[in-house]
Amino acid sequence: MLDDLRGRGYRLGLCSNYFGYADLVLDSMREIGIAGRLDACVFSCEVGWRKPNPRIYAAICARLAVAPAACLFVGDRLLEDVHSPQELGMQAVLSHEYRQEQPTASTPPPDLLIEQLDQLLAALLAAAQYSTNTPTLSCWARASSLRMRASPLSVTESRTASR
Amino acid sequence: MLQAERIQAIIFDLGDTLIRTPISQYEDDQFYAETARQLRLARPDVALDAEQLRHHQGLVGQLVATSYYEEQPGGRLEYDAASTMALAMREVAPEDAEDAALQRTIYDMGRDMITALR
Repeated sequence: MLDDLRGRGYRLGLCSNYFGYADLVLDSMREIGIAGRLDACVFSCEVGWRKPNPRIYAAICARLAVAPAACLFVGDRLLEDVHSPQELGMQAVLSHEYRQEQPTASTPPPDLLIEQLDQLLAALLAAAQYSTNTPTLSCWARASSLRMRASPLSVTESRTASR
Repeated sequence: MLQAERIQAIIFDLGDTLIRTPISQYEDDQFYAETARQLRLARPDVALDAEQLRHHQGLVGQLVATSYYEEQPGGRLEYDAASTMALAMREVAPEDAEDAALQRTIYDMGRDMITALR
């Protein structure tokens, strides 16, 4: 998936709260083949600020040389990976693959909720096609709590209505 | 709907997003409550409750890291553990971040707790 995303021109970054020694986790990431597929990484133990502190998001944006508004943040935690990135202007995807934090009524929902990480690429492609080919459906997309279930995706979409 | 035309970069979280992380097994109410209770016993002058520990996770993560570091080769392990714990504490309890005795207390407590959990 990471190779597919890079092949489509996306710059890929990693922003992690990690309590240890950055070189150790980088070694582990190299062993499992993740490190070489990323353009930049930021760890809290390295920069001294943990998510949800805005400085750590600024650090990864700087290393990727992109503005927050041009970033999509993907993670499993509502506060650190969804709400705080959204407050900085990013879009955010909540992943339920390993943990299942549920969006609450009192906070803005994620831009997208995916059950498995490998749904991300398909969701991006669908969103790109939707925005270019079906503009007349925009009013339909604004319906609240729209839930899409299209094979192979099972994607919950609810943020559009809040915008 | 994602606004795909805006997206130039994708930033991933690591633990429990790109990979499953073993630390998740410690993330439960009982663990945080017990951590806070032991910390109160060890240092009653420090007010870090379970919710603070859960929210920031730095200290709890450090407790787990303690045992991890001790399995690594090299002589900088304790120093690294203490320094990264201090980073976390600067957000959780800035007034205590430079308290070396408190760091030592939490370090020892974490080692004992991880031993017990195993």
